[in-house]
Amino acid sequence: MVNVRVWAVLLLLAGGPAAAAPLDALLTATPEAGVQRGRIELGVDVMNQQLDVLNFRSQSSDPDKATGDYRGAHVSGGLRVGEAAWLSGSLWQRAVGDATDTYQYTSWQVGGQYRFREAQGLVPAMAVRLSAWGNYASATETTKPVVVPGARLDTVKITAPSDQQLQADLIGSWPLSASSDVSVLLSAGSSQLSYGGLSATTRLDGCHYNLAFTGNAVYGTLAKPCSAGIYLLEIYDNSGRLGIDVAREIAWSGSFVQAGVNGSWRSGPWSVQAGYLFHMAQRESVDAILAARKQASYTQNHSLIVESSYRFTPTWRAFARGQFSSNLFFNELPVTYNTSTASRFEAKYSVLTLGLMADF
Amino acid sequence: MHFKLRLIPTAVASLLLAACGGGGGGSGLLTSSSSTGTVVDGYLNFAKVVCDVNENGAYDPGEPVTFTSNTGDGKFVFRPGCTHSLLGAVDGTGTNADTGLAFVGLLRAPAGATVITPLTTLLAAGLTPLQITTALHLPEGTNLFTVDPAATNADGSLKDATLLKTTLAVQQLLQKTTEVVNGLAGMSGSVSTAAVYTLVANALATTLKTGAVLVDTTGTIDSAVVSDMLTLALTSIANASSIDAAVKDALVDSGGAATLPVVMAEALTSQAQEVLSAPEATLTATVLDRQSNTAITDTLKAAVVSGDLTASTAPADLATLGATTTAEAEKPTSTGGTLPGVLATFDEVPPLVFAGFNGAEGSSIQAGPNGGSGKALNVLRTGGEVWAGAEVTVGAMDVSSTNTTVTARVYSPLAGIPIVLKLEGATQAITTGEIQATETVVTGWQTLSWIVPTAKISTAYTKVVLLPNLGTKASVDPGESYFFDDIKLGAAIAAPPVAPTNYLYLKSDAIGFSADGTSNSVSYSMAAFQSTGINIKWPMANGAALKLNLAENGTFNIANGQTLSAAVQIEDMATSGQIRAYTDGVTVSKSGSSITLSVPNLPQALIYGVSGNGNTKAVINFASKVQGISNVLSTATSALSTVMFGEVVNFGITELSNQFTGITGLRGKYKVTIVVNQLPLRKADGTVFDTTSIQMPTSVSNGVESNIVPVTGSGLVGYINLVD
Repeated sequence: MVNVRVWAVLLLLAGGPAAAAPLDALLTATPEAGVQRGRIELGVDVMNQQLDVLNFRSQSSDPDKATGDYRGAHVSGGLRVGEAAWLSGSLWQRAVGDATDTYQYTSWQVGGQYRFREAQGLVPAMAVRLSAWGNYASATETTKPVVVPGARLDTVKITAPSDQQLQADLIGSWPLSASSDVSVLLSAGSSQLSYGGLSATTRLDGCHYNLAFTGNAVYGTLAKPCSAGIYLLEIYDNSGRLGIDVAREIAWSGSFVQAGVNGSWRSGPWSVQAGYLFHMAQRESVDAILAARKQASYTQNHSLIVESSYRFTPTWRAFARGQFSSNLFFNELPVTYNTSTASRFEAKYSVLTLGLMADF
Repeated sequence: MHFKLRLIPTAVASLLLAACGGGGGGSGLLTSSSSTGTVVDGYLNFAKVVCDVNENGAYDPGEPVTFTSNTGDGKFVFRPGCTHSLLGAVDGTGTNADTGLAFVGLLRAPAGATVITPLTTLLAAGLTPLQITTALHLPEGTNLFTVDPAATNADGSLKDATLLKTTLAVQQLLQKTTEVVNGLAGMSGSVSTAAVYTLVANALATTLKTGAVLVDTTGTIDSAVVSDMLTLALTSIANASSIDAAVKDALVDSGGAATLPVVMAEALTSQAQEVLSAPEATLTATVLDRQSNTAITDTLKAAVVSGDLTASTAPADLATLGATTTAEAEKPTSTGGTLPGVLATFDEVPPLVFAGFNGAEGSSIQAGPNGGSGKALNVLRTGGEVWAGAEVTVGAMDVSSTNTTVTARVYSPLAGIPIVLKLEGATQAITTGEIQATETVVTGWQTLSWIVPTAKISTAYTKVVLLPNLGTKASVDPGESYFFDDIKLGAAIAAPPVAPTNYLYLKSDAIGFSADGTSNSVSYSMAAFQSTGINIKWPMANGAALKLNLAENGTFNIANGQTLSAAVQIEDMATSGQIRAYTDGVTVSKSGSSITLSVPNLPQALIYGVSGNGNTKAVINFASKVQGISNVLSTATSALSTVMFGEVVNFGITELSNQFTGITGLRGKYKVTIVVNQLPLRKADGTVFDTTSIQMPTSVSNGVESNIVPVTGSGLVGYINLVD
């Protein structure tokens, strides 16, 4: 359960539209358009078979590539702390599914934005934005077999997987009219993944074993009574025979750059925003390991976001947002990318968000 | 090295097959669980401790088991704890860390006790603490449940020397009575030992419960109380269902409770008194000598054989025999003169001054290899000179005409190494000169002796200079490592006063190996096995077998229900790769000249392997391959006992080698250690095998060997050569 005080702090810090990873495509240098002091956004995110009427999500019979359902909820917001300065934050709960398992993640983000130049003529308003964001889970367990060079793991469980990012954005916004504007952005950042522990189950000579990893050393114990003839009761192996380099495969570090463009249009109670983001990542070790195993790695993602809102009171607006990505969530949930899951990032995906915004 | 890890276990399994074919009375004040504790008869290494959940005074399958450490502190740990009575030194386990002797008996302790000793055994037999302290002249209020009798102060002195000596004196009474009863019947094994020891302890408790005082205020043991205890014990043994018929028959032949107290009470009392009265400084030496003394059993057995001890022996003759027995029992065990003087045990506090020289500067005092006791001096020779060695300052030595022999326990990694010693005084000019060990050096631990020439007798010597492999320069890396322990000075060691009888041995100390299972076998001497090694053709035929020409000296019996454990350890001479395997619960029975070994249907049969680089460790269950196997060995004249093992090895190759390649590439020399317990195995001349322990890890959590099950017993170290 999310700590209530954390939510409260984030709400206090909130400022500006919740435009940050994972909604970088909608970043603008002038977030105060239509807002005096700040904004809070509450939303639910969802995608399943019934909603995916356009079949945007990749469908595959290959369980390594099949996509599953997605559910999420978030609160985000921004607080204007100066004439051109904003603080923002967000907190997400996500349930990401694949063909067999569902993984629960909590995502967080805090940031500050300062507009150092106002728009004048063709010169856009320009702002810099610094943010930190990340994702974590208490544990993720996959029940779909994972094949590593030296073994077939029936289940794999990672405790406390997480990622942390530091990101800098340079944003330029041109007002096209009193009710419309267009923005471009360039971003760069770094990622660091970590995990608390790794365990797995496997079978050997007809017997079931629990495997616990300490670094690359694995300690296996018989999981349940075995009726095989001669069988291992316990094994400790630090020789690397499984061919796994745990830390480099699931706790990688990397950097990324991204570029985007978006536009907004307001008319009466209606508001529409649309944005595109190109994200490119460079990861240490993990992609090299994939290449060594002749497996594909994915380093680029294209995201498109379309949002429409309707103001039904001076303060409250309802909104709907569609988010489409060419390669799953890898720019939003780096923690999900490792040598065992990379193949799934070939898939396209979409998410529908419905929610309320309060401008004050 | 992986293939070796998987191959050798099966080979070991086959070798393993080859080797084998209460009372209550707890204090209501004690409510804590015994999660930790100490087993004390002196501290016992590798003693099996059982949480006696059903409080029946015996180990039953399923009851929690743990073992004391092998570090000489006697400590055991139960996780998560034991709230029941405790049994210590179960199944004949436990080796005295000070004397190196195997413990004889079965210790008990009431629930909540944190020590298990002969005195807690009396508590478990129904005595109250007050009854014990009164009968043994111990301070009232001595907490027998928790006070460690062998605890020492910072300076190494005993905290309560009286308590330890009293504990050891009681053990002397219980142990020697047990040995006599079983010895008269030629009975071997822990089952009979435990049964007899328990009844003897119960008898002593019953005797003392009447108010009898065993130790008076002057510290004198009352032989009349000992006699009463014997009468009660022998009567109950004669009638107990837990006692083997052979034991009862032997008691009948000797007159039992009517005669034995008369002929052995004084002898028992004398030996126990010697322990009780021993100065603290010589207590260990005294206990070593008295516990290893077999004079009472030998004398009485000889009397039974000669007809001098029967149910109808006249009282006057019994008195005479009693006097003779006492006189024999009072003689030192291993010498005709004074007890050996201990020069160095390397467990001294503070440690003895020593120094390595000329290439042995890296020598140190440290725990020795398996089979040693406590710490030892490691002489580490790494290059330097051919005389690289170490000297130990032990203080003035009384080298006299009756004390000319220096003995020491020596561990050598190779056989045939010259181990030279000399004694020196304040200057190098005061020296005995170089003295070669009398015995041929074998691999592993052995006791060597050096005789000081008469012309060199002097009391001016203060240092012992140790020169292993004198004349040969050691390599710098890895060098040569030798261990020295328990250096003593005494008279020339004489042969045991009575030739040992009732034991099992290999004729001519020879081992036969048949590559195809036929009678066409190659015979190897035990000495060859221990030095050059036995050649084994590799790969192995299904019919490969050991051919053993077994024989009995005298006749020995084995009680119903006796089980044994056997273990094998194989070490790759080229790396640190190692395999250990063991099985326990193997039922052993004897009928005439046939010894039947039967592996139960649910045996504990494990293999532990570690790869040469130490990166891979595994514990393997091979119970299914040995369960239900039965093999009959024969000690009949000219009988050749066959132990098949090729098929098992080949099963391992075909069934387990799928993860490995190059399995047939195994070649070379491997060091083999074999341990079997509960059989009266000796060398052909009656010499005992070294007591050896093989530690079987049953867990390799985080790469650390843990939950170790030790198998301790008669040990033999040798070599096998895998050849084409």
